[in-house]
Amino acid sequence: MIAQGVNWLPLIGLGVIVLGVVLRFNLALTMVASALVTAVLGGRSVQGAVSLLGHFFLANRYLAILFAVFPLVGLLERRGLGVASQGMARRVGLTTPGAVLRAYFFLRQISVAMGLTSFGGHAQMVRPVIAPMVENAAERMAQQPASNPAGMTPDRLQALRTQAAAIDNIAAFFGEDIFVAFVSILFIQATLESFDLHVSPWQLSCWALPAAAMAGLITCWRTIRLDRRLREALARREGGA
Amino acid sequence: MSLDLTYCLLGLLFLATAWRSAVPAAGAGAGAAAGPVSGHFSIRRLAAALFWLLLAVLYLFGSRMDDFGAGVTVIGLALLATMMMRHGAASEAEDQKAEPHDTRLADHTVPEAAAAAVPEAAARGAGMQDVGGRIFLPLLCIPFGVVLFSLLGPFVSRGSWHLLAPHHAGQSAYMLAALLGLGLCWLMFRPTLREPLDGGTRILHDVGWAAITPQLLAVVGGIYAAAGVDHALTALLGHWGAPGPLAATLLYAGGMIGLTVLIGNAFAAFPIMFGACALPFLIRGLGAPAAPIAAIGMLCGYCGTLLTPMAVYFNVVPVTLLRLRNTMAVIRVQAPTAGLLFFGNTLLLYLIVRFQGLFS
Repeated sequence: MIAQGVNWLPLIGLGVIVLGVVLRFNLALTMVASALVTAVLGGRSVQGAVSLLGHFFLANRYLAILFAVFPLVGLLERRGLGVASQGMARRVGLTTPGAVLRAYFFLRQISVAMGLTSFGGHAQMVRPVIAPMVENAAERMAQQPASNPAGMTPDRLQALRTQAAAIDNIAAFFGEDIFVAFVSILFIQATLESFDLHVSPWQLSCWALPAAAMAGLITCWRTIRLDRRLREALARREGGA
Repeated sequence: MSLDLTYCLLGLLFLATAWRSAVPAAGAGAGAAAGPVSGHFSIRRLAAALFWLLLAVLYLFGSRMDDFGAGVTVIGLALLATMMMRHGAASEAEDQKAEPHDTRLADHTVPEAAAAAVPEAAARGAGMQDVGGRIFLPLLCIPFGVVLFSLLGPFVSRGSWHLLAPHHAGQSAYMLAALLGLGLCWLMFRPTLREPLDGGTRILHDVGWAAITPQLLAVVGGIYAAAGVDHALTALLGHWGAPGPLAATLLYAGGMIGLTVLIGNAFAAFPIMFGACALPFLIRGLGAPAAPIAAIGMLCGYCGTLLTPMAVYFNVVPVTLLRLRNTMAVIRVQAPTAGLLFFGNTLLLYLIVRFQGLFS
């Protein structure tokens, strides 16, 4: 059932990406190279390929809208948002890094599922609010004053910040498909329409629930384990000292 | 708030970032605590300044540019990106040189230069005091502002003027919400105009060349579709004939995660894999219901997004924003969760295909 007249050459564009990643080229350059190669192998002139590149870039400029929040976040960071976040975590009783991460996960997942996708994000929540909360909780677990850098090793603080970033991604990815009006649902629906299949957005969003529940369970398990490991490591260190 | 105005505001932010990259002392405020690197010429700084300048041009004048000119500019951006600061280890080393202690992010995000620019903050002592819960209010303006403007926006228009751009209402609402938050900040703190600009360009400077990757991923997806990559992949998968339920499920789920890892975007992978595999084998061939197959297949793709450096915005940008040492750190932490979720989703897909009577 091999289709006649299929142009196989554009598949080489995928190879360009693999090559770029493996050889550790700059990813922006890799993407541009792959796009140009694919367009040329798809039968366009070099000038046509460059024009196509420009056309799609201009058409997708709106994706940079997330940067609109940076001045606000930058201003608030300078006015002590990080310190305020630490105080907030203490007041609502989130005393371990795992507890902070877990609370943020569900807050993020539920808000995204209700369509509040803009509550969260790396620049907006993780860096100014969640990372300071997690670090502060870890330092208080170590029972050291926050200003004392000996309370937590830099490596451990790095690992905790990484966790915060991962939690944001996972909560957003496995929450957003629950919201019926999210672009992803509309996109799936439009794709199925193009194949002459008609489904309601409610059906699609309902099938996102199992994965959302799984993500929640896995996160609970991993954050509980994170706290336990941290406690063990601290106990070991005190025992050794 | 037309789309052009939104782009112009973003363009101005990029222009400010270009200025900051070229003249770091200006970005750091009074210049008193600008550090040892100011005034020192480097090719990286020049590349960064040019990069943000070109990006600003694309946003300020993009509507009047022709596609070819824009394409050449984008190629220029990609070339400049290779000369800018690398993410991860290299940028960390550079930062260490400029600002020696980098153990805690919280301290780091309140640089001395900022404290110098804000007299009251400096007067409050060495560590910043807790300013209380009200500082969260401007941040909450974003989600609630977006909802508010999205609900009210369609009713606010006069003639050809609309509060929200008709085809990009979400983006307009987001920009308005950000401005609302800044307005509230102004009422609460009375900052100078320079303060939000300094803060914003600092974060954007941290993001670096990765700022253009969401657009580039969309470009790659669009060009693949235009060049017929999906047709070629469909023909390729067609070679295998009609597989059984288990093989077809694995092919579809594995294809979604694999293709997403490769091109960094589940949205670009989904139409290809759905048309090439799910539709002929699972839905037409085995009679599985379309809705769960489509929804869960997309989620398999999301597992791939958690695993790939190609999804720069999710996996590499936080590395710079949080000043992590290892470029792959976020992916490494996400991998176990992504693996488990992929397994769970694939199992669910198989059960749906196998026992479809229970699900339809």
